[in-house]
Amino acid sequence: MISKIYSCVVIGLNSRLVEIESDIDFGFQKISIVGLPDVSVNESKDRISSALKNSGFDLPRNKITINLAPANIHKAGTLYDLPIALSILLANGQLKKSSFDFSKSLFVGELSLNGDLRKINGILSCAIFAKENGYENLFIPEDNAKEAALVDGINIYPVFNLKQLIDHLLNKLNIESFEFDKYSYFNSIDFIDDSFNFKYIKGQNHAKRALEIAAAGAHNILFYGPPGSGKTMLARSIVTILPKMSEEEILEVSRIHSVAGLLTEKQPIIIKRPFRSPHHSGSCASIVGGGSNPKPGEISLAHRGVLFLDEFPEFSKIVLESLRQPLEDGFVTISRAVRTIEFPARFILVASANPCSCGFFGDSEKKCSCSQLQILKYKNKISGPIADRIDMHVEVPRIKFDELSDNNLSEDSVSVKNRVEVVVDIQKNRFKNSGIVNNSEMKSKHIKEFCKLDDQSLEILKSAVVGLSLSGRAYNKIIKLARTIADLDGIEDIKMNHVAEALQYRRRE
Amino acid sequence: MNKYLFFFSSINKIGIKTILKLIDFFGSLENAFDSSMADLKEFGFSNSIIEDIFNKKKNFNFDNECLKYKKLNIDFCSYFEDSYPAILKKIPDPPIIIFYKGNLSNNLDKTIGVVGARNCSDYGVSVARDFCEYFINNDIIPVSGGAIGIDSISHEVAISKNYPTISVMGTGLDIVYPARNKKLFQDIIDNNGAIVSEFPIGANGLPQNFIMRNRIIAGLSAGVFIVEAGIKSGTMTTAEFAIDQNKNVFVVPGSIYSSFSEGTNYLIKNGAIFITNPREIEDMVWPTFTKATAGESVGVRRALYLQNNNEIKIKKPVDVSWMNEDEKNIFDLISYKSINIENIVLKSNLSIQKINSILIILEIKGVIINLGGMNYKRIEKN
Repeated sequence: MISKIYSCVVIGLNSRLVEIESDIDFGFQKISIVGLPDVSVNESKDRISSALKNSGFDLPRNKITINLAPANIHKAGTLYDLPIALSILLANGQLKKSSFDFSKSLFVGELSLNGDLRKINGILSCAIFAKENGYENLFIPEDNAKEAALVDGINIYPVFNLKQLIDHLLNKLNIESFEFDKYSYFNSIDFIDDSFNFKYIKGQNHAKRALEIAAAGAHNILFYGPPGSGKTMLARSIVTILPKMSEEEILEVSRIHSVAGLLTEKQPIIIKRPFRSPHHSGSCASIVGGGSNPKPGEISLAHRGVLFLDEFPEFSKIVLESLRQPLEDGFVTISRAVRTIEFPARFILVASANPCSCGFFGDSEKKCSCSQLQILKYKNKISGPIADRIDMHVEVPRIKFDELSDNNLSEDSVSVKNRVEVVVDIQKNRFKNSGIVNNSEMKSKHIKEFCKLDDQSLEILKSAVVGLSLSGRAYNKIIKLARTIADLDGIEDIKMNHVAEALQYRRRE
Repeated sequence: MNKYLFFFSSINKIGIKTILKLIDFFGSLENAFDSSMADLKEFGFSNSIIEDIFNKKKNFNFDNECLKYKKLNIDFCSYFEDSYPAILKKIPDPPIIIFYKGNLSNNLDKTIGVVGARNCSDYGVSVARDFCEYFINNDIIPVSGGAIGIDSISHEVAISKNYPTISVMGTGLDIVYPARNKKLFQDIIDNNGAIVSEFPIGANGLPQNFIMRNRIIAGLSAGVFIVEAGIKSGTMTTAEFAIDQNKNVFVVPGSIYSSFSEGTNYLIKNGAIFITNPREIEDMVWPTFTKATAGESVGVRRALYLQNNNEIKIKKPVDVSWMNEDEKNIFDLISYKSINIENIVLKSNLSIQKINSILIILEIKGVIINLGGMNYKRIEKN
């Protein structure tokens, strides 16, 4: 008898249906799995035979053939343990008494030797697939329940062990479908990590204002200044003023983390905007994504959040240049021999750099010991095309002692965040039908439509082209920034002072 | 252009003095060109020079050569022509032919050599910028070597004000060296300035060529101003050439700890004129002659000058009438000594966004400058 169980395969961020067929035939006892399984799938037969035995079932002493269809898709991972075990039992007639309709259900899960189910990666993609394709039930390991429950409209059955599931299928026992009040969960998280609150950062008003603009309009920002000026602390503090994620965003981000296997018991869903800060020794595959079975890299893990690259010029040239496409398009395309996969990667790039190799060029107190040539060489490590994709270039000078010892607290992150969220709402209304979300994503067409400049602003832009030798390319960036600054003021038309402030964040040659 | 003069100028080791002697000896350069090896030997040329002459003679085609230069847009003129810069004729060893791109017919009465190290500190950059600005505002043409560092800055300042400047190359003019200054050189030509070289096309940038180039920089200048120099640097050879040509060397002092200023401090110790203000150069090189100063040496003129001008006031009050109140308050906080934006925030009651936009407006209007690191200072108005 041939049995059929439905499961799914995770490719990139998406899932596809996998039909698991088992056939039991006369012959020596042997399990063979066909349909392009990789090592981790092939090893499952040993786990399954132990798990079946330890759960009190018989493994047929015959020849068992298991087919994972469609047979032309490469299959990896451990999520097939459970469906394969079920299909063997079904083929063997051990589930004969079950009235369960297997055609409406998907099964995924890894088995341990005693029959317990273990957590798997990519469960969110499976759940989304199940919902989109009209499956009613999704049987998953108990530890994955909260993650899967982000998706509405399907029954999530958290399974503790194989025996429990079989009893459920034989109507001997009922597994309750998982109910999860995700909204109260969303609100239960304390969003502001107090140690990075703006109020503890002395001085640096200029940089803090820049961060507020960056967070509000999702503008990429580069801090440069001498060592010890607080660039890293400033960059990290951006998490305290980032707007809340919408439900769709939570789903999007959690899905990426689910595939990457980064969701833990403590953090089953990503609710705070991610903040990723890979070290500058990171490889291209780790940062952009890759591997023979492509996995999302840091830039995708930072999707809808912040990618912080400390010591920006120290990253390898290849890594920096490969940021071009994602910074422009908001996704990254990874091509490998087996397949080509797209991962979303729309993040705010926050980068920090020293102005030169000794670090003190432009410092008011310490003299820079670099030659003009060395400074130029150091600056050239960040190529023009990359620098052009960074809207805000902010100098962070060193703070003097009397400013450090000043006891007054500055503005709390909470009030900054409130202003940022207002601007996020403004943008949501503005770009309702435009296919973009943030001011920073505006193309020339949107700029024409949404950025009205009065004569005075045009005048100052014109004189900036001459007086500050502004390049034509920088022109649009300034207008986009001015748009966000005007939004922070709650003003629809961009005024001269908005443009002037935006000019302060231009890239200096 | 005499084709025989062009020919002899291409022979190594033949300078203007030899040319004059040749004319004396043979009656004309044409005769010299057609003369036999024995005659040349009799004139006193060494065997290697004679060999060089006869080798080059075989392939010499003046019309072809002219065409080549024309294609590259390179002009040239000889020592004997009127278009040859008069100031250059006065040096001990002027080039026979000078090649140039651009316009060399500017009035070169008021020129100043601005030279300095390729590797320079921000102090050097700042001095070169401020002084060049003064020179240009006072109709003094900066002459420099087109290298990166101080040289490029002096050219850039001139270009930013659409003012001519002269750049002297150590290579043939068909070669762009340093290559990244290609645009700068074009800008110089476009601004009615000139790129000049004594070397024919195809001449590579040999180290000795760059040293000879420094002789022309000094030669085209009424005085040489040195911003920063290492103790063993090309800039120091420019100073030596200037002294040979009986021209003044002006130097700004630098820190005794700075390796960038070792050369300039050494020059001061050895008699170069130590200055702290660009006007001092102008007053000493082009003195407005009075009875008291006429005919006096530079040293005496300097003493008289300092006597009469105890206080050098170059800072005129800035016109603030166009500023609104906030702008004026911020402007008042900024002096000629730099101030950091954080201190501006602390000292004024305005919000950071307001301050930011005011600073940009003041910067665009050209009354303040951001020195880097968000340090602002007023711009000196001369």
